Amino acid sequence: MKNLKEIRFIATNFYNLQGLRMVIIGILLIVVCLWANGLKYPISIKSDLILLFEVVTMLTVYYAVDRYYLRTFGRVKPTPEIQRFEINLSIIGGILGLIAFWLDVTYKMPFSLIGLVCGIGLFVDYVRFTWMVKGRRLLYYPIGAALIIGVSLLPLLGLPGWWHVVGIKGQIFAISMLLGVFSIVAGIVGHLFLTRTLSPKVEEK
Amino acid sequence: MTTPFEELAGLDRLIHEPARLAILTALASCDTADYLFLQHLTGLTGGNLSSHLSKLEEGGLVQLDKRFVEKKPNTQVQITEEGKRAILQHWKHLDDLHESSKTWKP
Repeated sequence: MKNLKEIRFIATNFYNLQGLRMVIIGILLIVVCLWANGLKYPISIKSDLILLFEVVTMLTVYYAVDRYYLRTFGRVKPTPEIQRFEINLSIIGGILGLIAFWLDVTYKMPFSLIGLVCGIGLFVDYVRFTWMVKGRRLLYYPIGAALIIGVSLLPLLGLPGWWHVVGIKGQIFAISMLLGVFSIVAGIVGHLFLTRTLSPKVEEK
Repeated sequence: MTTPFEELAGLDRLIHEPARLAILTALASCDTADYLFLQHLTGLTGGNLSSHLSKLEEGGLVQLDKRFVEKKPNTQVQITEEGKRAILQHWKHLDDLHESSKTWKP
């Protein structure tokens, strides 16, 4: 029998804990950034096909992962209040992200606005996750958020063009790849938590 | 004035059984959950889970919706309004008992 707090946490965050999805999104983010980073103009059809292949492969794997979770652990439909909250959060986050991206590519600023928005978004996610249950296992969220915010401010702190040192052409690629790495780590931790807590141990008959 | 035992005996046994308490706690945190999820969550065998769900359904605390999804049988379980009230009341009762155990003086 699981701790009742843990049960509430799993039932509330069941979809968010299905971390392999985040792993795929993280890998896709890194792969697309590496592709964009290695682009040489004029862009060849071969290069476009490589990107298309990568995206289609990742979407196929995403679908397979979705089926895996559904068949292994079943379905949980969140409450209408949580659904509304998540939709509103996604819309606000999406709009802020697009504005930050536009400002980042339009103006030369001594920090990465998209990085700051993503870092703050992770803090919001942390608060959302821990609304009901506080657990040390989720500390990687604020740590990741602080890391992304810190890296976004590096040019302002006297390290302009730090991304060139690691062979990346633009700050936006570097920040996106960092987000990709965070998604992979967070996804693996979430998945392990879910699979260990909902282990298919069934009582003896 | 109730005796300590009377207060304990006042706990609703339909809810207080560990498996049913876990099921109702999970269902109170979501809109619906299916049979497979509840089985993983509680670690109960199919037969035992069915038995507990039937008791909860008879008590009017949950409602079951049996249907076919992709040609496979799928049972969705939803807590009723009465079930939500009952589990909240149960938690309050447990909290009260816990608090009174801390403040009691001979």
